Amino acid sequence: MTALWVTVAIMTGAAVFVVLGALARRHGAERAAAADVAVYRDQLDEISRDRARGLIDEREAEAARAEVARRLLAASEAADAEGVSSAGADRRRRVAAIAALVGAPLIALGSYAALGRPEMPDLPLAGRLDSQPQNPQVADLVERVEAALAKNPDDAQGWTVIAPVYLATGRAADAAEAYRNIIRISGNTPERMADYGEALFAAADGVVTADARAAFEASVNSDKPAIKGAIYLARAAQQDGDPKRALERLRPILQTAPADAPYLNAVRRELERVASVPPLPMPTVRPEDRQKTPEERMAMIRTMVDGLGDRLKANGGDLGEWLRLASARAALGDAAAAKAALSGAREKFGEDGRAKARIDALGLGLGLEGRGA
Amino acid sequence: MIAETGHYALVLALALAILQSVLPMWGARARDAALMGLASPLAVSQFVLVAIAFAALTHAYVTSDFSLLNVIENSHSAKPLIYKISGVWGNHEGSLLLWVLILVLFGALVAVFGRNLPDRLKADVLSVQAMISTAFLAFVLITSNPFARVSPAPLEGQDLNPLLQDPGLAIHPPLLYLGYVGFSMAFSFAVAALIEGKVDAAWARWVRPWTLMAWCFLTLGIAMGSYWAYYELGWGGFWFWDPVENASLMPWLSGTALLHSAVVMEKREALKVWTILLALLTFALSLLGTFLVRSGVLTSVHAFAVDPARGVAILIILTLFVGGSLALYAIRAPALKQGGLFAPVSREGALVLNNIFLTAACAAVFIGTLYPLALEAATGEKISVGPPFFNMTFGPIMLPVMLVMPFAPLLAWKRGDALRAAQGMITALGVAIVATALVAGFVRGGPTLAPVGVGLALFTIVGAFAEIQGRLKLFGIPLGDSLRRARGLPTSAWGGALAHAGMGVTLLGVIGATAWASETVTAIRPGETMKIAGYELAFRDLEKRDGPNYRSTVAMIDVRKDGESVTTVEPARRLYLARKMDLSESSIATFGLSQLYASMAEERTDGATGFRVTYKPLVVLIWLGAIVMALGGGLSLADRRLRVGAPRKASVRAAPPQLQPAE
Repeated sequence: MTALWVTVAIMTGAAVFVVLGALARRHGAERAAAADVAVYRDQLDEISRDRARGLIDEREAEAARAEVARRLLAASEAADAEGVSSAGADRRRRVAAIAALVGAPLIALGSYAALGRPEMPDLPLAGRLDSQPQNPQVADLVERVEAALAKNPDDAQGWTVIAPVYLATGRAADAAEAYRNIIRISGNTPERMADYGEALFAAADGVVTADARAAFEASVNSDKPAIKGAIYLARAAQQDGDPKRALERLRPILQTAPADAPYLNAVRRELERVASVPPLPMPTVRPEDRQKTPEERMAMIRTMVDGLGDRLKANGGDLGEWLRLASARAALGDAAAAKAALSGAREKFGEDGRAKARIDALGLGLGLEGRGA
Repeated sequence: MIAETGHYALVLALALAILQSVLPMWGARARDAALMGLASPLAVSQFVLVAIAFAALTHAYVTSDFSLLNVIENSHSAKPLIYKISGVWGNHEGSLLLWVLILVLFGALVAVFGRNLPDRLKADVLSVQAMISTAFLAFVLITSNPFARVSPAPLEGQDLNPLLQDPGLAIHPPLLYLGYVGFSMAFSFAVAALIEGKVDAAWARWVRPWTLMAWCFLTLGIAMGSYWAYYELGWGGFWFWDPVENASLMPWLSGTALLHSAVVMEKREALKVWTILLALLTFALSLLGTFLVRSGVLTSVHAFAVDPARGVAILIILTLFVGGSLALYAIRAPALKQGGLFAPVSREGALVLNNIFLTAACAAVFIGTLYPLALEAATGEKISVGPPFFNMTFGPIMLPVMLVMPFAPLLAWKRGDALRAAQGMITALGVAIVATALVAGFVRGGPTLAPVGVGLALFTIVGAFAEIQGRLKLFGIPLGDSLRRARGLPTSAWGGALAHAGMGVTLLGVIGATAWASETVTAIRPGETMKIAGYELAFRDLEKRDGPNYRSTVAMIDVRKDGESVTTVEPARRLYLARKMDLSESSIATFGLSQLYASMAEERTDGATGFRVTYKPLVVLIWLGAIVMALGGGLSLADRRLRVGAPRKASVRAAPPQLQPAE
């Protein structure tokens, strides 16, 4: 950063010096019209040259010369009449010097202060890869594996190594291709089909396409169904606008999973997604609120949630608001109140299948109902 | 640090531009040599600073510094080096920086090479030039800053629009901008002259080299753009009357008019007011072109910047400079002294005719380009003005230009002899008639009028050299004498002839490629063949080939004539991975002046592949003509006479003393 400021100082200094240097130079009484005279003399020479080579005849040359000579005469007179004014020269020089010494640096530094990011260093890609030790290894690895695979495209091991790397580095289409190859070479297992579907899902920017759905279906229709496939099928149902089917996919997983299953959290998150709880509207932060301690803020939120609860009890409200209340109560650690909110929602909306599915999903997702509740 | 250094250099350049637009102008008014003397060093420093900024941005692209928003949005680490560099100006921010770089480059050139200019004119010119650069530097910094940073920086960029990943893009915009921005010099000279209230033959001589230089670059830029569209956009056409193309054609037309009227002004001190107006309008049209392309008011491949705020900013700059200069013109022009008189049949008369037709053609293009926009803005109705409009307006207007063009150089200044000029054209006319007859008699197909078009084109090409022939009297006098005369001819005479002939060459190409083009669209399987214009194209196979940042499917096609394989064409489709864009990559085989153009449609499910193949006779001449034109301009530019005051070589013989005029 120091180096930058030194450079800035040098550039600014040089610019100022250019102006001051030019101002200090002595200027003779140059006559502007002399330049005009030069042009016309040149035109006369040209006419003479053309005549000498016989390109124009004497009559034409004479007429042209007369015309140019008239212009030349006028320019010469103007040149004699013209002078350079020196009145007020010192004052003008002072103004110019101040403009260069103060004005220019002020404009430049002022604009730079507003626009620039002096604290940010250059971040050339090569340097960044060096400074993050695992990255070049990854890049290197990818390159080596790709080279090997180009020679031997039937190397299932290679595809297995590279596929998750592709997915993690955002090359989802390549990942899908890699899984397709694995399946082609080593046959399909539920896990591989689910991974393949996941790559297709990522390549389609988070949409379960028909191909991806087919892969997921294949991954669950076996004697050892893949959990991942089921979770994504729930997502597909949800994207179809069918929370009931999504819930049906997820509920059995949650109910049969061992307590320390690594995928429990993923399933719960998916359930909350199925419930599609609208986010809690954030209160506008007033300047005086900034001073508050975390405890005071918690109290504020509690008051707000209580207010929502009272309002819903008094005059109904919609499903989204009930779900929001339940999820907020759970987040505040009040499981009983959250359950109360869920049963309140069921009372009002339980008739509607879709709504009931969303309520059940939230209950499961928050861990309030079903297993372990 | 390099990126931030570039950023600061740009900001400092703005500060100097502000000083430069005020101080020398003030000095010129106060007749103060010290203040006027600031213009040149400031102009040079400004150029150095913007060049530093440009180099810094290029450095960021080359090293894939994804902490710059501009680099993220338009680059990719896997992109080949040349496209990393050309990507610098393949986007809105970078191309504006290039625009400014060229603008200040011209300012610096005037500062360095304009030693022969009168101090006051030079100070005014550089001040006006600095006003333009102030406006554009502020525009770049405020609305389109290429040095905007992003933290944290992503590990990969979004890549450049694949359409623009082409060698054509590396050269097309710089050439075009050298042309567009070069006309800013004519503008600055015109405004300076209006401020001084003094316009004379000397002024015309000073402004001409700059106009000529800009014109040459613009000619090449337009031709390059046309060729790029021809092979990259995959339609096989060379001119689409696309608003962006029109935007570059308009300054070319008025710039061509300006070049010619400046000649009249230099020789005869006539057409002063008109020449000044043309200088203002030409740059106004260049600015309009910038506005059309940069504001995103048009939806085309060029409108890669779609941002209304920027559009409004450019519109304000446009209004300020065009409105300001025209207001100054309205106040000052009536006071300008008019120059000499001339007869209708004279060199001047012919040049006035050229000016009338060129400006009329420019107006036709202007209306065809802007009327749909104005209509849409006013009523919301979308119409498109296509080739039929331009063919019916632009064509008939340019026709007389082509006809009169060869005559003009044969006419004398002041009072010309039409009969003598016509005699000089007999050879050209003969060639034209013979050619028309031959084409009509031996070439089958094509519109009825096409042979006449060929005749006209040849008339223009041969006629362009009629004046030189008249001077050399080749075959009329001993060959040695002719050669001596040829050496004595000023290079600008050759330049003019070449530029005129270039027009004819381009016309010949246009006629050949439109009248006798043939096209086939078929879907075939490997092993099958298609036929076009006497060639047989055998589709050998498809092949997968991967580039650094794309995957492609290449069709290998053998081209055979009379059973013998002459060449292969390999049209392809490329999938650019970062942008997931699928592009057709055409393949062109050149036979002499004609081209076979093959492009590939998507693979069909039934195993066949769709191809579109066109054969365009003489199509190469279109661009060759433009190169000949630019070459002619370059020769004129090299003419020593345009460099008044420059030290002369001793080898130049002094004129005989008795011909020196009395002063």
